[in-house]
Amino acid sequence: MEYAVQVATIPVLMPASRADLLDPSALAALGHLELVARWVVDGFLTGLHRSPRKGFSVEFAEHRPYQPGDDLRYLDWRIAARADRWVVKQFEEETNTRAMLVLDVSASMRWTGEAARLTKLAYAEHLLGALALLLLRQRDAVGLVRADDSLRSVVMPSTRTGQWFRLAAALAQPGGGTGTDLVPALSQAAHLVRRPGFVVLVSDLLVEPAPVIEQLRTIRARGHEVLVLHVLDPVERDFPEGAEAVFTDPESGASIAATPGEIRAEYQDTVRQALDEWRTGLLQVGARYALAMTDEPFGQALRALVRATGRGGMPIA
Amino acid sequence: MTFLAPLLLTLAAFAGVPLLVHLLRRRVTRRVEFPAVRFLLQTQREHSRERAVRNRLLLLLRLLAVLALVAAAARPMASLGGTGHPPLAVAIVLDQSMSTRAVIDGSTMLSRLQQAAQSVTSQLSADDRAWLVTNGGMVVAGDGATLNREIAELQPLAGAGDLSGAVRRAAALVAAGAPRTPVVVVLTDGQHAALDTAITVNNTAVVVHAPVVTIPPNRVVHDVQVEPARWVPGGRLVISLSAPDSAAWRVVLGDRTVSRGVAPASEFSSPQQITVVAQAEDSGWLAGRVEMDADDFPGNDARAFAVLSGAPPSVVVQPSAGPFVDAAVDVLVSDGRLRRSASPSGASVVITSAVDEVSRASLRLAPLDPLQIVSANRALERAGIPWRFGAVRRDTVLVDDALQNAQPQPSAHLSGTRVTMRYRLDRVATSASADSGVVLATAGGQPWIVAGSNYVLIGSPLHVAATNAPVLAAFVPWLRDVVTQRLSDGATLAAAAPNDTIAMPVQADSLRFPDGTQIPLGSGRLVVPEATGVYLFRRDARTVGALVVNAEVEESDVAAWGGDIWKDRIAGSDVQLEPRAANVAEAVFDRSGGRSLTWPLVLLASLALVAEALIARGVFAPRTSHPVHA
Repeated sequence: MEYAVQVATIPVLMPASRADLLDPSALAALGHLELVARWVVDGFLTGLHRSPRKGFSVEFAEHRPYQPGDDLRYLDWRIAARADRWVVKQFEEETNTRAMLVLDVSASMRWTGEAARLTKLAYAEHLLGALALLLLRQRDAVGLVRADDSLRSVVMPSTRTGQWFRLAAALAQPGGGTGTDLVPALSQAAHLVRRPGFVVLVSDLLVEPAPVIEQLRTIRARGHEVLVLHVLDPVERDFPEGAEAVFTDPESGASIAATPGEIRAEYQDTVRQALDEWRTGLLQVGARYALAMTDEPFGQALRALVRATGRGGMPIA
Repeated sequence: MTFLAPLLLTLAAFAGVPLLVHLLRRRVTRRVEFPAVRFLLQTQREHSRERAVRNRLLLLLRLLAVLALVAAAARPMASLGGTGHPPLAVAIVLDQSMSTRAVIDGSTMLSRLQQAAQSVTSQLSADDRAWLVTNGGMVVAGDGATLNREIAELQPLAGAGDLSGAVRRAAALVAAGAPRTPVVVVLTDGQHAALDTAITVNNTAVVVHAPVVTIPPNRVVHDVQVEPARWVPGGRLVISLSAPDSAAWRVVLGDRTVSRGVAPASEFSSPQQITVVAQAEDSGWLAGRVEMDADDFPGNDARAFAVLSGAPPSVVVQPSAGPFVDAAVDVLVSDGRLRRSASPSGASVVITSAVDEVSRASLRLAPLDPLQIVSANRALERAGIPWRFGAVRRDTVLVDDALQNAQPQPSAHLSGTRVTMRYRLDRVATSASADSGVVLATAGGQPWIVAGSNYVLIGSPLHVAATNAPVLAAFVPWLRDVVTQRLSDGATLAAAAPNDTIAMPVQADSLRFPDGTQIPLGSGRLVVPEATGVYLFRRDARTVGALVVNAEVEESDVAAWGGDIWKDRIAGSDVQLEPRAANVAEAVFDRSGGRSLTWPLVLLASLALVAEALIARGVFAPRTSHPVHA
């Protein structure tokens, strides 16, 4: 009955606004992760113009005039002989990529700065669900690694029917330990993708950058594309309001007293520097970086993910 | 630096509040889970030094603000900087004597002085302390508005008042206003008789404003002498008057004009003497007035007098009084001033030796024989007289009877009389309500003639063996005055100036004013009413004496108007004469001394608080240029 109600709600909701652009917490409250992911992907695709990448694959797309420097292998000799026109054949690029999604499920990810907002983990789960569905619809193999201070669950990449449900079930599993150690998870993910594919890391990156970046460098060296989605709660970016308090890290237990009004500006500077450090470090190893705030619509973050893939990334639609 | 309200400096304890807050804040009880503590730790590491400096700066600014506000509340003064005029303790002495009634160029002298006073009071600030002191005895403390109102309501006195006393009082008041700069402002018409004694003000600044004006013509009735003291029923009035031009005068006795005439021009220093013979139509005390044509100097062109009309008092001279007194009474009887009575019971006054028992008003003489002193003292005790004869002295001393406390003042004096034998007169303790008497004359510095309500007691017998008084020319008039004025029932006549304080000349329970109203009297001293005229002493519904109130004639002497004399009469290190009314306020407020630092300190506290707010908001903190973005 509950499901029926949710389904009945969608037609009312969807014409007015696309699901991928709705408030994430409001949207997540409407249904299970699988359902929400579908709405997000549907809305996302509705908003895309069909702009296929043209490459030199097996599926013919169209001809275009020959330009000096074009590979002569793709010159259409028949037309050249028949009509004395020099054209080259273009093919719609068709990939069958293997993607591994790596999700940080540490204690810090299970935190939200505002009760009405999704935790970083919930936000990341919905976002990865949508991404996985998007990839699977393109016949790409998608796998999942969930990790905190150790590997919590692994779903092997596959394009088989039912893969989406396995992924959704894995994403819906409860979180794990308190610490964060992304290096083994990334290593595991890279090993599960045998030929060059891409690895998507979704985390709040509240770890030391150097080991992670070094591991990503190794992954990049094996030919994988790497995409890092940095999930932050707006309060982590701006610092909480209120009187002086002792702030405690749920993972390490470290605490410090501070007065928000006095330290906010400097804290925000520090956050900016940390983000810059991540962005710079990742770019240096050839990884892509995108920042997602948990109050942003899923579609916006999904679009950032797709945009960050670049030319060698995900062949969307 | 000095403080006008130093007690408020105790509020400096509040400076500990920021420190307390700083310490209390170390005990933080609120705990917040926050995953990005690593950023917070990094922030603290990177900015700890900067933050410590900033926190100390904030603490200093808060302390500075509190201390500056506390100091401002204590109202500090310093010689450097500051705002407004120096805080002053200023006393305005305003001369409202009779001479300020003079009309000069259409306005009275008093109104000119009032304007000058208000030019000072209108510039008083909240830090100043101010008083208004008048020579009429008024002392008012208050702010500028209060004093302005009081000044506007002042009216000229009928007499000279006490300007010297007012200046002394003002100097004492401003001295109590320390640490403010003490300034006394004397606003006077410059009439030279007003400041009758020199005054020392030491370090108190004195600004004297005596306007330079053209003195108006002044017609003055100097004096009216009534001769004899008791008219039976006629007598003479000896009138002294002066006028710069010939002026009409008239004498009014009761409700009728008894004489009039025109006086020739004369100087104030040499007045004309005019004798008027008149008859009294009624018996008892009659009020009279000598008037001249009005001029621009009102108040002194009329003078009151009182006449006692009726039969001469009857007197009995006992043999013990001696032959000299008896002979003198014969002279007075033959002149119609006294009547002899057959017996003491029918006499108004009895003249006798102090040894005799007398129940009526009496002139009592010391016995010639020292052996009778005991009997004499016993008789004095029985008569309720609070004086006793002491040891006999046989040295030669002189008499002084020009004593200020004797009312009425005798017209005939025994001063200079030689005394070779006398008894010391000792006052004995009496009940509070009893008549303690006054000393009318001293011999060798000790009481020689004393008087009460119904007695006059002499410390020597009136005999040539004891004193040469009986053979002096002044003896008969003196005896006449004693009998007719002091001892005759209802014949006491006193004269005084407005607002004077005099000894009660007679035992009376009330005083009747010229308009018929009556006020009760106490014993002791009497403050003379403000208005001039004839007042009657009443006891048991009977008139027992009269009080004639006239302005001091010196108050009418305008020849010496001017300010220069004042610098000599006020001895101080900073006495400034300012003849121009427009410059009085400037002269007052331009005294040396510190200025108020209240507002500069409030400004300093405000700046400290603004700086604290800006620093607390991080306005001065360095910022990175790039924002957080995806």
